[in-house]
Amino acid sequence: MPIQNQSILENLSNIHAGLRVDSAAALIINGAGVGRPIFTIAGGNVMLLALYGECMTTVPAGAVTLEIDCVPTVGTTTIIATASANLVATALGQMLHLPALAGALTVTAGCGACSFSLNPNYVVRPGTINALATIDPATGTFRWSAFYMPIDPGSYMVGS
Amino acid sequence: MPENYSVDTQSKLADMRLAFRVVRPTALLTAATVPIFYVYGGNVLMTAFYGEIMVVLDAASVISINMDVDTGAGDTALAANGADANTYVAGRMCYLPAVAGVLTWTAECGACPVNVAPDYVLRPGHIDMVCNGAATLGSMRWTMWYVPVTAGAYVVAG
Repeated sequence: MPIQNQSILENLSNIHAGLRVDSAAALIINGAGVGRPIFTIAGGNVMLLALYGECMTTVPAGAVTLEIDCVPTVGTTTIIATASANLVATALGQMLHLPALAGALTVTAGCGACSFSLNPNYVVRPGTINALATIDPATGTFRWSAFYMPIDPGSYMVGS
Repeated sequence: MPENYSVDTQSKLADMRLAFRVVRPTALLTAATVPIFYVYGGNVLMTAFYGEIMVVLDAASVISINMDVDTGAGDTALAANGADANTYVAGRMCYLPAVAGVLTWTAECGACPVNVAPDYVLRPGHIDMVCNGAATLGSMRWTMWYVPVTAGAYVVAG
């Protein structure tokens, strides 16, 4: 029999998938080579369990790819998903997910399902997780969800 | 919203999702074999492990990770010698490889994968960090996650 209590459902979800944080739909950007911060990590290291994006507005003509960077407040940037395939004409509902170690950000072929656990779990240091596009397209918005667990006491992650 | 959960609640959820976390606090890295975690009371299942440079390593530092069991039956290599971490900056991290690999260092400071290695059943004893080198200033901290296999088994930092 399904469990109906919302609090129980939320806690089961927290335990199984991790704590979910969202980043609202926003235009993908190059932003002078920095990209758009989509999540912020504060208070210590966290364990990133999964991350995916969902196309909310189609990307216009012109080559544009996207990568996912972990940009620590102190130290150098780690790319956890290298440049995706060309996102031009990506349709509403197509999704992006993290790859296996040292792979490219992966675009789903359809709009129905998205892999969630191909990537390893990552220790992520305080800073931001950025979505970095190769250009600044006129349109093309994605929303993002990440799932994490704190490592250092008091560490957390929020949508940017 | 997760950010509104108390630290204690988040910690308990993390225990359930990731297993119990044990931290070996930041300590000077010396050219020696140093127990960084002790396994007591029976077998445990180690689910993840990583190290993080807190102060830049100032000289040759080649590190391997071994499981030294109390029975004296010999060490099990969890990670053979990694790259020389000389001059690696604070924030670079290292992790266990797939079976029979070398301790692997991240090229940068933003993220570190922790479940490339299999989960390991560890018998009572200690996890040794074996550092071959001459670092005199660098320091690292180490973190592992585990669940007990044998009732009453547990891990403490060295």
